[in-house]
Order: sequence, then structure tokens, then C-alpha cells
Amino acid sequence: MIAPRRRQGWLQGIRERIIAYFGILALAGGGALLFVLVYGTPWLGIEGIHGLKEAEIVRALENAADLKKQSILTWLASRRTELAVVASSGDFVGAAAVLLKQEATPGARDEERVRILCQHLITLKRTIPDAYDTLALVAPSGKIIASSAPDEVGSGYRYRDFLDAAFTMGATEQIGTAWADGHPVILISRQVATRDRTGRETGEVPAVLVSVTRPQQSLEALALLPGLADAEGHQMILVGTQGELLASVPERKQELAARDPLLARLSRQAMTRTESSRLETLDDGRRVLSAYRYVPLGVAQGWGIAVAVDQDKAFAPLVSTKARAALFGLAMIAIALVLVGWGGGRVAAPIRDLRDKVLALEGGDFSARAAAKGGAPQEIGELAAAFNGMAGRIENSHQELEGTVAERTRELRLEKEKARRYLDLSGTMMVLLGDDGRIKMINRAGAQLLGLPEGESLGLNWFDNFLPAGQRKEVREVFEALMRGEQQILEFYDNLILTRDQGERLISWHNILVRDEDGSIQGVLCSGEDITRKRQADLERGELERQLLHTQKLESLGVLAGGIAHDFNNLLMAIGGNLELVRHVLEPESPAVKYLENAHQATKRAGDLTRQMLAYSGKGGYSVKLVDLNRLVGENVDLMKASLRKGATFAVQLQSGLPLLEADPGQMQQVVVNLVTNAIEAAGEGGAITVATRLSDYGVAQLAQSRLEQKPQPGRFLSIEVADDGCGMDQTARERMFDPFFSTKFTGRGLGLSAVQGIVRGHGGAIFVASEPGAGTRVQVLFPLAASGSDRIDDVAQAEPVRPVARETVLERAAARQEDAREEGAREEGAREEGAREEGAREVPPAGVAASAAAEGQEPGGAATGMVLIVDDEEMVRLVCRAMLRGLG
Amino acid sequence: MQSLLRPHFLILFILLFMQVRPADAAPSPFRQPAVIAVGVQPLGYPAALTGAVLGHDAILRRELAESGYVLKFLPFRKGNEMVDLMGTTLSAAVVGDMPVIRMAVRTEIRVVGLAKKTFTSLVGRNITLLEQLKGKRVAYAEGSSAHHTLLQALAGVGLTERDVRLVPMDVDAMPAALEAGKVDAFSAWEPAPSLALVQNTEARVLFRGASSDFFVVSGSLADKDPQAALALCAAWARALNWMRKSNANLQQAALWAEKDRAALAPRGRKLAQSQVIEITRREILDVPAAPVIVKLRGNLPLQGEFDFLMRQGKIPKDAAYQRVERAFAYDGLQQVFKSPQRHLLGDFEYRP
Repeated sequence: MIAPRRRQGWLQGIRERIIAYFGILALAGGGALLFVLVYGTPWLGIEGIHGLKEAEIVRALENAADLKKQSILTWLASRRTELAVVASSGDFVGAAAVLLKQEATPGARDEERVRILCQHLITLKRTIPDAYDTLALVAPSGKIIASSAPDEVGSGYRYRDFLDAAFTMGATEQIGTAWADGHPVILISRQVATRDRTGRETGEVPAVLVSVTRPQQSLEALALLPGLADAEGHQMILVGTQGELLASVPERKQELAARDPLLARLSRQAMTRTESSRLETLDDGRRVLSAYRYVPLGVAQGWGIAVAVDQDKAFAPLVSTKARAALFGLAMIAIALVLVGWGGGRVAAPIRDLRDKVLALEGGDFSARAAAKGGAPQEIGELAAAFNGMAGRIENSHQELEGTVAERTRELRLEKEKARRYLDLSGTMMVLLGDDGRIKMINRAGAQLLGLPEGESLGLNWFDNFLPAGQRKEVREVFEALMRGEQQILEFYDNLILTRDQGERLISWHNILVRDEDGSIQGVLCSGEDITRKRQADLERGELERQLLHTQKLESLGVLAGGIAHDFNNLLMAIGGNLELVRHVLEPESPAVKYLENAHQATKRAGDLTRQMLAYSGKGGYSVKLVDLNRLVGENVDLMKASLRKGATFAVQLQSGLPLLEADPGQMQQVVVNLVTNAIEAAGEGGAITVATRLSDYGVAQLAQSRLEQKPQPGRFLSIEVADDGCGMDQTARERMFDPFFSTKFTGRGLGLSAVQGIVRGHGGAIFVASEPGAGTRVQVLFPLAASGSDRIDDVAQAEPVRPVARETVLERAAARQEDAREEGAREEGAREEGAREEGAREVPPAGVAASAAAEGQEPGGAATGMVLIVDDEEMVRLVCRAMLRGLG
Repeated sequence: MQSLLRPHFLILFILLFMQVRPADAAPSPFRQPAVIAVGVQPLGYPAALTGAVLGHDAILRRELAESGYVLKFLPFRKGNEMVDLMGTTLSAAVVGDMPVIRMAVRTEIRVVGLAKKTFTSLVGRNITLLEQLKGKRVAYAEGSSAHHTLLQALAGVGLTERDVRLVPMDVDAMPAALEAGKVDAFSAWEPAPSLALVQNTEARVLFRGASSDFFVVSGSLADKDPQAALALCAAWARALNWMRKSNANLQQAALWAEKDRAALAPRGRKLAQSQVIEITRREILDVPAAPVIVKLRGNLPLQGEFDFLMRQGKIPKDAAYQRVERAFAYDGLQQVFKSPQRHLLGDFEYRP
């Protein structure tokens, strides 16, 4: 099998990957290196260029501020020293002491002393040009005693507030600041101490020497460090005690300084009397690096120095350097990538050649061999040699394998064919379903059963194609549970399948699971047998057995009822006869006549009952004649109209021209009466009853609907149909309506329809019943036409009583038997009547007794000569007759 | 750590068990001489020199002895330790501005004169800007003027104490801790900043805040025995005069100070004598008018520091600034300067 060749795309090749990896590493490494170099990593102890640059800038700012602070302090120290020298010089102190002592009494020499003192001060001022505004010796009263400006001698001193501090006891030296003519000045005072003769200070301070100095030169020389002073964005300011701008570089006017955010911020911070370096963000968003220094001047006064530089401008060179470094790094990376690409190609080319050979080998070219070119790396050369050796062995193995595979394939094909034949030989259906429910294999019997060519059913989904729609879901769920191993397989079961040409077939299945080597379920193998016909035959057999059983039951019941009715009827005959005899012997006015009449009526009703039972059992007396069915129906319907309920209607539809029916008229009447009676009772008040007769042909299919077990042969039938629109019957009532003693009426005896069934059965007819609850009931009885079906009513008058034709039915047998009996009975009756007429009041012996006696071969005596003896085959009748005959003597 | 704590225990032991009659108990011929105990800070310059010179002033001892007092000097590592002792165990002390405010709020004191006018410095290592202090370890001495300077520096760039990792530490241990990398910065007074800058080239002064030391006497001593208090004032002025008189005197004072420092912190780093002298000149001797505190109109001493400490919760909220003003209203030094001969300001008798 050839593996699919991977898609050749970006980063798929060795060379491309080497370039990509190197590029990513180079970019990441270069970026990280640049970042570390610029910003540093404190946890590695690496201080970045940015930090170093920032420190360098801040240090420069601090140095500038320190330098300026030191220059001011140095300048101030010089002035303090100069003042101290003058104030402690012997000449000056001596002249001042004398002058101060004699201040109260001034004399001519005092002017000279003042002049000398003034000269000292003037000399000092001239010695240091531009350093001093004035130098003055001031008395505690504020009066100027001597001054570098002799004109001021004797006037009040200008900086009175400063004098208060200058004369503070013990404060030998004092420094303060002030404004003079719009310029800041520094005031330095030195107390002139008086001493006693021993040279000890007396503690008195008669005057202070005060210098008003103007560090203008120093202020104007607010030069920044080289590199800062000339750079744009730098600012150095000197602020006074109240935050006023004393000097600035670049020079700004004081009134404009307050509106400059930078100067405002620097001034505000500089007067906090603290020293620090900060990175500050101005209100306008600019970020500045600043250094602050405080120059203490006097007790609570001092100047502030602030030096600041715009951060962006200060770092501009660094940004430029960073950009150039980044570009250089990128250029180097690009060059390196080109070299890496060239080197990667040198490495990748033999590997690519080897890959092509491997792919060729994989594709089936077993002659493919790698050729290690000169210059290829040693490892790749060794790999090529190893590959060639391996390819040779694979080629040999492949050839051997090919032969073995061909042999095995042939064997396997034979085995498979053999197995196939075995399967096809099987008469049962064999189907292998995969775990997806599709047919994987099916044998010939299976394909034939499904009605498909053998190959056509493979791959079809079993459930979608061969299961009835109503069973698909349920069976599929069971199958899927089976495939998931969640349900045990049902090895034997039956179900219906759909075939192409035979419709639904019932199959009995035998199933086994098919598993692979790991035990995983792969499908199910099913062996199915078509049991449709067998099941149908079983059902039919069962139905026949049930019908036979029912028939036997009814027949037994009929035999039983017939037997009882027959004997009972004989008894009733005897009772009736005797009642008649008793009535003859009684006087007509006898009160017993009435009772005898009641008993006679009871025997008549009992006779009717027995007649019904006999009719059902087919043992009633038959007198087969040609009957005009229309006449019979019409007469009986007319008689029964009196029984109609209130509002009920009667419709009679008699087909004219009907042939005569060969039947027992009494039983026909019984049929009509029973059916009409039931219809009247079912229709109730306001119902409609229809009685019709007709002649029709009936086929097998129609006759199969008969409610009688014995179906007549197809042919022409006369029919009586009685229909009502009453309450109808449900299925249970329909099924049991002909069962003896089954009745839905309170007063019914349940023998009417049974008698109808027996009569119709006896006449070889058929019964159709159509009834539904609420839809009324229609009962149709059929009677086969006689062989001479062309007899018409007109022929009846000439018709002789005809013996019933021998038939095969029960009626035929019974009719024949009863015909004989009737003839004998008639003879007996005639004899009995004759005897009765002759004997007068003598008791007429029962016919049965005579029959019994005759049957036993006993001669009844002379008196009985000429009498008809009725013989019955029943034991009871025989015994009764014997007793009667004995009684008669 | 034990070596650092040991001197503290020693001091406490001395303070608790020595038979000290407070100076506010007036001396009596029938009772033991009262003790005037002066608290000094041998680890700070120039307070160490002034304290040492004061301790060797024979005139002061004699004058106080004549008044029935015994003079004793008690060394402390920082002024904050003396706050609670002032007025009871201590009769006088050399302390910074912050302890002075706390002393004035707590008890009656009289500020005699200036002992130092300098900057307290916040020194950092590998830190350029104040903003970079965020998250760094900063050593400080709780309740000291250096603590005040640290808070001032942090507030200046919008930081608080919670933005840094504060490491309580003795001032003399801070330079070594910075060099060893145990802390990233510290706030201290001289000589700690100078030592750190000398020893470590990566150390930089990040912030300087003006601060002062003062020589104070207890209010009870000044009220009950004004002459004894004046004797102490005169001795203070005399000490500065003596050191200003010659460089030799200054060197001698430096030697005495070094001896006191070594006794209190034997393992502490030693600053060169020239640097000690330079610091002393810069921070007290060359300060104009020192030790006199010149009172200017509208200039309320330590008003800013007082408000700042109240905002920081370092002093009670109901503390009155008038107590500080009253402490600075003392004119003992002016009285002494008015009578220099009487108070022997020009006579020097310092014995080893």
C-alpha cells in the first residue's frame, strides 16, 4: 500500500525549516539581546544602556547643580572670609572700638577714624570688583558709622530686619538675602566684639560690619556642563527664598517664568530646601529629568538650584542608536539567513534524493537505489548505503512474498468458493449483517427468498429494505444495542420480512455474533427459515379442529336434544291422548274440563318446544312437499302482523314466479315464524321489518359466508330474507346467535334460531347474517332448488305427494326415515281412530305400546287384530307401550 | 545581631539599676549629690565631637559639683531612644529635630542651641531616581530625623511607606548592609552617607533633606536650677569656641569622639579623621551664628516637620505646636553670651 505523499508546503522542507528556525531564533535572540542591552535585567544584574544613559544624564544634571551650588558657596565663603579678616583686623577693630566708645562725645579726631574705617571698607570693595555693593559698620541703633560709600555715614541702615538678626547675642556671623534695585543680594554680617584690657571679650556688641554682596557674576555664569548647556531642552534655574526666579539658563524673564510649566515645577520644587533627582511629568505631558540642590544662606534662608532636561530629547541619541542597532541586527540576520539557506540546501539535497528513493520504493519500485553524491555528509552517505541494502532485501523478500501470496490467494479463493457452495446448498437463508446493518454476505437461498439477484442485495441496509415499516425501529434498536454489546443476542426468534415478489414472509431466525480477533463485535450471522406456509397450515389446521370440535359439540347436543325431544314428544303424545280420553269421559259441564284444557294447552306448548328441539337436531318429523314459498311467507306474515309493535311497519317483497320449493312446509313455516318473530322483537315500536323472497345464483365464495358448517354446492337457491332496523348485534351475539338456549331476550328460550339453523341444515341450505350494533339485522336463508327446479305453482295441483328423493344430507336421511315412520304412524293412527270409533268409550291403547309389542314379537291378542302398531326404537317408549298393552290386556 | 543588642542591654541595665537622683531634685547637703545625666550620640557627627568635648570640660564639672551635682554622660545610638527618658533620667541631650519635637510634645524641654545643621541623606545603590525606590528595601531608624527625611522623599514622588519594604536598622549598620546588598537604600545622617559613598562607588545620594541637631535641657532643670542649666549652656558655647579656636583642638575632639564611638560600636566602620573634621566644620562650626538659633519674624522653627509628623501619625493628633515654640523660646545661650567672662566662655580647661 502506498502512503499518501505529504503536501509540499511552506515549512515542510528541511531547508525551509532550518531557515525558519534560525530566523525565529535570530530575531528573538537579537530582540532579547537588544532589549537587555537597552533596558537591562535587574534580576541578572545587567544594567541596560537606558539605565546607564539615564544615570549618566542625572549625574550630569547633579554635577551641574552641585557645581553651581559649590561655586555660590565658595563665592560666599570668600566674602565671609574677607569680612572676617576686616572685622578682626587690629586696625579696624581698634579704630572702631575707639570710635564706638567716643560716639557719645564726638570729636575732631573721630572724623579721621571714620575716614580710616571707610577707607578699609573702600579698599575691600575695590579689591574684589563687582563683589560688593556696599560695606558698612552699623551701630545697634541702625546708624551707619562707616561705609564704603562715605556719603551714607550717619544715615540709617537700609536692611533693618537683617540687623535684628545680626545683633543677636552670640551670633558672631550672620547671613541673609534681600532684593536691591531688582537684583538679589546676599547680606553678610560680622559682629565687632569689644574686649577688656586683658583682651577678653566683654560680651557687648557695639556694632556689626555688614556687606551687601551681589553674586551677579556668579549668577550670570550659570553655565551648564559641556554638552548640556548648548543642548535644546535643558534648563537651569536659581530661585530665591520665596521661589522667585533669580537667574536662568536659557534666560527667562521672571514674569514669564510663572507661566512656563517647566519653570513653575522647577521653582516649586527648588524651594522645598531638599536635594533630589526625579523624573517628573509636567502638566503639558512632557517628561523631564531634574536635579535639585539647596544652597543654605543664613538661618532659615537659602536659594534653590534646579537643572532639568527633556527626557525625549535627552534620550534622542539613544533612540537613534537603538534604531541603527536594530537595523544593523536585521541586516546581519538577513545575511545570516541567506547563508543558512545555502547551507541548508547543501544538507537537504542528498536527504531529498534519499526521500525520493524511499518514496519510489514505497510506490512499488523495488529497484530504486540511492546514489550518495560526492560532498554529501558522511551520515547521509551511510544512510544511503544502508537504504540500498535494505531495498535489496526488500526486493528479494517481496518476490518471495508475491509467490507465497499468489499461492495463498488461490487456496483462499478455492476455500471461499467451497464455502460459498456450502452456503448455497443450504436450503435456509444465510445473511451476514455488518455492524452498520448492511448486508455483507447472503447465500443463494436468501437472495431467492428476498427476490433479488445474489449480488444486488449486498450493501443494502437490512432494516430499511427488508423489514416492514412497523418493525424497523424496534428491531434496529435491538440490533444497535447488540452491536454495542449492551444486549445478549436472541439466538432464535421469528419475524416478518419484506420480499420483492412474495410480500411479507415469516422467517424463523437463528443468529450468532461475528467478532474479530480482539473480540469486538463486527456483525451478526443469521440463518433464516421461511415458515410462512407452515405457520399458515398450522393456523388452518387449528381452525378446522376448532370447527370440528364445535360441530361435534353441536351434533352431540343435537343428538341429545333430539333424543330427549323425541322421547319427550312421545310422552306428550301419550299425555295428550289420555287427556283427550279423559275429556271424552267427562260431562261437558264438569268443572274438570277446564283443568283438562289447561293441561292440554301445556302439552301443546311442550310440543312446540320439542318440535323446535327436534328441528334443531334435525330429527323432527319431515313431510317434504313442493311448497309455494311466496304463499307460505305471505300467509304467515299476514298472521304475524297482529304481533307488530306500535308504529312498526311491515314490508313484504315477494319475487314473483318463484319455483316451488321441495321442503317440509311445517318447518318452512317454523323458519318464517321464528325469523319474523325475532325481527318484530328486535325492531320494537316504530321499527321497520322487511320480508323478501327471491331466486338467485350463489357461488362458492358467497356460500363460504354461510353460518352453517356444511356449505352447499353452488347453484340456484330460493331465499327468504328477513331484515329489521333494530338494535342489531355485536360480534359475540352474532357468533352465538345459533347456539341452543342462547338468547338476549328475557323471555326467550334460545331455540328459535337454533331450530332455523337445524331446519336449514336439514334442507341443505345456507344462512347469511349481517348485523351491526345499532344498524339492524338481516338474516337470509337459502334453500336449494329441487332437481326439477322448473316446477311452478301451477303444477302443484297435479303434483302427487312425492317421496323425497334420496339425498346425501342429514335431512335426506332423516326424511326418508321419517317418511317410513309417518306411513306407519298414519296406519297406526287410522287404526287407532278406527278402534276408538269401534270401542266407543274404551280406552285406546297407545300406539307405542303396540309398536313396542310388535317390536318384541308379542302378539297383542285377538282384540288387537287389525290394529296399527307403532313401534319406536326407544327403550322408554318400549317400556311404556309394554305397560299400556299389559294394562289393556 | 546579639553584638548589636548587647550595648542596648548594657545601657538599660545602667539606667535601671544605677542610683540616679534626677536633676530636678535639688542638691542638698543632707542627701546624696543629684546627677545631671546628659544623653549623647557617639555614632553621629558632629554631635559625637560636641558631646565628647562637653564630657571633657573640667569647668562644667567643677561648676556643677560646686552646686552639688554629679555630671554623667550616657551614650545612645539614636536620639529617639532618649525621648522617653528626658525629664526623668536625662537632664540634657543632643538630639535631632524629630526627637526634639517628640520630646517637646511629651515633656517640658528647653532648646539651648544648634548642635548641627545639615542634610540627612537617603542613599541608594544602583538607583538613579527617587521613583525607582518603589518596591525596594530601605533601611531606616524608626522615629528619627532620617525617618522623617525618608517619608519626605517618598511623599515628594507620590510614594508612601507601603510602597517600599522598610527595614528597621541601626544607623551605623546601614553602610555595610547597603554594600552587602541586604538593603537597596537607607536613610541616615552623617557619617553613614559619607561612609557608604566612600565604600561603594555605586552608591548615590538620592535625596537630601535639611535637618538639625539641638542641645536641649529638661524644663524641670531649667526651672528649678537655672544656674545649672546656664552652666550647661555655657559649656555648649565653650565647646564650639574651643573647637573653632584651633585645628589641633578639633583633632583632639575627633579622637575623643572616636573613642566613644568605638566603645559603643566596636565593630562599626571608622570614618577618617579628616572627614570627621570636615563634617564638623561644615555642619556646625562654619554654620553662621551657630550655636545661636537666630529667631526671624514669621519663621516658626520645625513647623513643617511638626505638621508632617502629625500627618504621618508619628505624634498624637492632639499635640500642640505651642509646646515646641515654648521649647525654642529659651534664652539661656543669650544670657551666657551677655556675660562671657562670668561664664568663662573664653576659658578652656579640657582634660583627657
